[in-house]
Amino acid sequence: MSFVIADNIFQSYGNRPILEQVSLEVDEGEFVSIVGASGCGKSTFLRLLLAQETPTRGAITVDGNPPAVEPGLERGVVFQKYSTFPHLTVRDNIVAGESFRRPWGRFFGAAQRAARARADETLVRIGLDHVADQYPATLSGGMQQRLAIGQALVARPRILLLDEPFGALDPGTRLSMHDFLTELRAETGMTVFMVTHDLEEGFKLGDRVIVFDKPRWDPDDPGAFGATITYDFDARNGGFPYQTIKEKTHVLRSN
Amino acid sequence: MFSGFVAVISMIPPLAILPILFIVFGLGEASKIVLIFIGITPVLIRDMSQRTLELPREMTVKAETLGASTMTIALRVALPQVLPRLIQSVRLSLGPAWLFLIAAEAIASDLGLGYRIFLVRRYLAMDVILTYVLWITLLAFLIDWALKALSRKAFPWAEASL
Ligand SMILES: Nc1ncnc2c1ncn2[C@@H]1O[C@H](COP(=O)(O)OP(=O)(O)OP(=O)(O)O)[C@@H](O)[C@H]1O
Ligand SMILES: [Mg+2]
Repeated sequence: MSFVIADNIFQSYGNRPILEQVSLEVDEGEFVSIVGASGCGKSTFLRLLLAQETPTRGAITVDGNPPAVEPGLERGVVFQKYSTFPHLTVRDNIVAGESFRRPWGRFFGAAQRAARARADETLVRIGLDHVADQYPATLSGGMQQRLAIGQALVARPRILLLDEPFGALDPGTRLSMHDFLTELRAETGMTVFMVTHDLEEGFKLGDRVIVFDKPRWDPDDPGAFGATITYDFDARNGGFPYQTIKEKTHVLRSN
Repeated sequence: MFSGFVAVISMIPPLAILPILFIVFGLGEASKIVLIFIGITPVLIRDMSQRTLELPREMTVKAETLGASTMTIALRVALPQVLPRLIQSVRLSLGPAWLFLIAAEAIASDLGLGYRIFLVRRYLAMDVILTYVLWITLLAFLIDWALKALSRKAFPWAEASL
């Protein structure tokens, strides 16, 4: 059975349908890129995956468990903005990834020191150790997103949801963020959903690229129908499937 | 419910209930303090609740995905972020606070800076009045400065984001 299953999801706000008949099965460890026109409901789908909202019809299950009713530790999220806590230092933002689940949302005494030490190790890994005592507002956009991803990962989610995480970054920073994300993913083997407006990015990072669009269109009332998944591309091997030779043949080789 | 109550309370002109305060609390310091309290707290409460609502939804969702309870979100995410704004609005409320103080002292008191200004008014002693005005200005400035320094010290991150 698949890890994440969206079973015939409908979502409407008021009587305006946004998503309809969305069905998706994703295996554990897959990286799914989500693309589509602006306003077609990509962020809405991500909010459903996050359990921030419950679908009007249908359900999303993870690992066969009953559908979640609110966001929890199982899911990590990084938005385009506001993903770090501005009143905590960079180090404490990382510590928050472990401490917010505690009764008072914090560690005390020795546990606090140990958590800070672990946070420093994480910061070295994500290349932010030199700004550990600064506040997020003093970091560049790329560093803030790296912090946000690092913070989400120390909570050890099983699913990572990214809503245009690199949307506000310049092309160079974007590329280094791609390497960063690929590295982390290789280490953790998480299942990732990433909304992006950059097709190239979607195909480069994703194992699959799914496209949201409206299958039906009423010219008199553009809001009459919702969007669904219209394409589901295999994006491995740079988007060219059937490139891996399945059998080990030696026909073409002379040895 | 509570916010509606506060909204109605904040519509009461504080100076209009000053006579009631004098009757209830007498002519001493208590009336002045209560007047200032009644005059500025509803505004502060409304400002705080507004600021809390303005916190981005993304931030609470993020905290939830880190396993935070409602309590943790209130204490570790919302409260620390509205505190610097509380100091900010207290600073802005200093003007009304002085107004209430001087008005209360002018109407009924036998000591205090406001009382003295209105006392010497009878003798047209401009030089004395101006001296007191200067004193009040200096005090107001010092309090404002102290609050600003406190905010800087306690919430360095709020300065960083400006
Ligand atoms: N809470 C809500 N109440 C009512 N309508 C909403 C709500 N959230 C989203 N919508 C509507 O749902 C539609 C889809 O929004 P959504 O944010 O999912 O689009 P999107 O695909 O993420 O767009 P973008 O690429 O611009 O981020 C929009 O028309 C939006 O107005
Ligand atoms: Mg969106």
